[in-house]
Amino acid sequence: MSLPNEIATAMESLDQLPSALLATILTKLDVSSICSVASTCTVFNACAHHILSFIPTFHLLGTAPSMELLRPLLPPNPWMKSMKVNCGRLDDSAIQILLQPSLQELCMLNCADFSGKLLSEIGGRCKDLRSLCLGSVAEKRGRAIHISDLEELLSGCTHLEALVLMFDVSFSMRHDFARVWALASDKLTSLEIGYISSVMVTELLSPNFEFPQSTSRVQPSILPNIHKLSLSVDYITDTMVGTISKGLTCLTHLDLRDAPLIEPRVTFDLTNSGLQLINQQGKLKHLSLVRSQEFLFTYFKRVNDLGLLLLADKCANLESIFLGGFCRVTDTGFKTILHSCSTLYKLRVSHGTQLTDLVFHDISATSLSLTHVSLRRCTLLTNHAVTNLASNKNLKVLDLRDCRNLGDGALRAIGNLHNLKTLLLDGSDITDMGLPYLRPGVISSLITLSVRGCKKLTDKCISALFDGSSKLPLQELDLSNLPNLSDNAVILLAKSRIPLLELRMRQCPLVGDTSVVVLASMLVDEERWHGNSLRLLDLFNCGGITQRSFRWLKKPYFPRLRWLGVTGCVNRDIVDALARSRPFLHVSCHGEELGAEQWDTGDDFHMHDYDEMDELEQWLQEGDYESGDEEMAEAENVAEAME
Amino acid sequence: MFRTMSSKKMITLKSLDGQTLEVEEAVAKKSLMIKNMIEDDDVMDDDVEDDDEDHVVHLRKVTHKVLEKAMEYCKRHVDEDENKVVNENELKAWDQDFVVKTDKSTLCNLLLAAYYLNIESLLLLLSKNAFHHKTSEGKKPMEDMRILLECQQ
Repeated sequence: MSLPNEIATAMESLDQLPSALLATILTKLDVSSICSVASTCTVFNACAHHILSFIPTFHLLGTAPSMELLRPLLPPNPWMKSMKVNCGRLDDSAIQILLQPSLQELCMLNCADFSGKLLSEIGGRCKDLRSLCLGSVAEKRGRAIHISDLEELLSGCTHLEALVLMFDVSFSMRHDFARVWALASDKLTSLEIGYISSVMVTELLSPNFEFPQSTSRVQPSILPNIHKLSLSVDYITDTMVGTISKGLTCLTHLDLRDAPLIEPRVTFDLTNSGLQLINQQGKLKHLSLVRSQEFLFTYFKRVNDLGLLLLADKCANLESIFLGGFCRVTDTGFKTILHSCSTLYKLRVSHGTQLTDLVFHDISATSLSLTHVSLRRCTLLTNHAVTNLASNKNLKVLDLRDCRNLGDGALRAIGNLHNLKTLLLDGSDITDMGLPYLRPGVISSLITLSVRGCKKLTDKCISALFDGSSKLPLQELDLSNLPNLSDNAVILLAKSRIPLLELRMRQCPLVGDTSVVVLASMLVDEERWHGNSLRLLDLFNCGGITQRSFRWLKKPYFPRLRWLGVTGCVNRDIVDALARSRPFLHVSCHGEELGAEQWDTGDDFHMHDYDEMDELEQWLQEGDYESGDEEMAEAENVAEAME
Repeated sequence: MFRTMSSKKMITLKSLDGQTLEVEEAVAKKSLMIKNMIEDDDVMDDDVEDDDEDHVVHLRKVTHKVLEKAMEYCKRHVDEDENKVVNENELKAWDQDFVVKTDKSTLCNLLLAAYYLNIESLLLLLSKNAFHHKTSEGKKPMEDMRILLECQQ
């Protein structure tokens, strides 16, 4: 490259830079930036085309490109190592350009329109793959995956180390299943499956320790080197848990989630005995057992404190634990976990309906240094618990959603946590007076803050939180379900000039057109941006939004907006017109939550109104205990008999 | 002969227009080009007695103004190399400030300087921010990729 003789003020504009330098600069940008730069002038365009033939990384997850848009961006590239694409608008015809043979990391999401051929083609073309993640393959009606597709994938990618299949894999006869998974690479250490039945899991892993009766041939071990296993099943059962523990001897991360369709019977459920079987070798570092209420209000009825005591026995190495739906466990059980796991740094409990302050009473006496604490729907917790928890000065994530009895006292304690990055206080009893406790220590490190459904908050909460300093790192703010929040609050927010990326104000009856206008004209940084930095704006069901707002949602306002939530009934035509004029904007009108990444993956599947008590709680209170107790007693008898 | 070990050895950088700039050795060495030049000199001058004499590095392609800016960046980031604790948020904020305060033409020259002097982290920072200046000229950021196709044809 020939440098100019003087690196002096002769250089007025970037396109005069030497092409080698331009190429270097462009290679440091992500794909969408490269595209937008390329569209500005012919010099950059040529440069962009040049570098697209050798960039090692191609990540385009935020928007779903169509085939026409994608084709010029993916010339044959023997140096491409990592590709991540949102395939929402693609189908099998994209296989040719997407599956570059040199790929080592591939992530394709929203592949509903693809057929099983995608799997077999990956096995055929991308032999060097180390990490593969496929989402929603063939979920569209009329598409199908066959067991042979999976077979070709597993036998083709012999270097595969991590595999994520976020879709239903029970598309085959069961006897075939074990044979096919035996073909998987020995190097596979991490496996995540979107849905599989527990019976299939049990049958899959049984050969690992059961001796074949009829044949003399030694059965190869299935998935022998798995360290991380993450499964969504129909029912977590004792048998399945036992099989996993015995069959996978290297396991360090176990993530199990179920969503029962009907009330599980004793043979199809997790009981205290099952908990005893987990972690037999004591190698587990991370354990997650969650029962989701997606289809039915249910929980782990057959597990009580005894089960947790048995679990805690072998859990000295545990670093992270997530227990969801253990409604029969009391303080004794939870406390035992805290005291037995001396290296614990992540604690998550969901639906801990009997969890009280006592669990954390002497937490400062333990040597624990928790960094992530999530206590969701633990309604018996009060400010005392938070005060004790706040002794963990290294806390980065504090999720206390739906702990209704927390108030300003908790905020005072939280004010001492200067490393906090995420704070979620949805549905709590805090007021405007408590929020100043977060200044200056916490607010100057927070990235995500949610006060959704904290009904006592008013417009003053904005001035209580932000005192005019615009250098805050805050990126995500959730002010949804606040009946007293009005346009004035949004004006204050805009004045504070915090460069927010995500703002949610769902179901705020007093928020209206003025807010949209104010946000649209927000200048985050006069010298550089013309328009604000928002990528996500959720105004679903806001009382004052009319057609007028849509004029301010068009270009060039909100230049970086990718997700927009509005109420569809405003005027369907206008909403459609907006969506058409902004093809990279994802407009949602039906009230679903926005955003590609949520804080937690599906702990609840219904929208919160915060008017009624949580339905599960209500149901629990109505006393379903009678029918449960008999089975509980029976399970305990069985457990005793086993010892 | 005993070597006097001063903890902060200074290097003199001489720019295109003859002006000199004195910086700590560790700061100057963030530029891989300067680092190589110093280390080559060290090898050559092994038998020189006077180790206290400051090295003078001639940078014939960089003006004083641009060199100052580059060294300002290096000075702020020198802690990273020495594995000292850095406050990430503060550093990021400083970086953004640094870029914002740089006007467009200096930015181009600074880019060239970062490339020439081989200061990887500065080049990365400037690359990521270079086109914000460009697009703020009234062109809309994130144009349709359709336009990309039109340019092609």
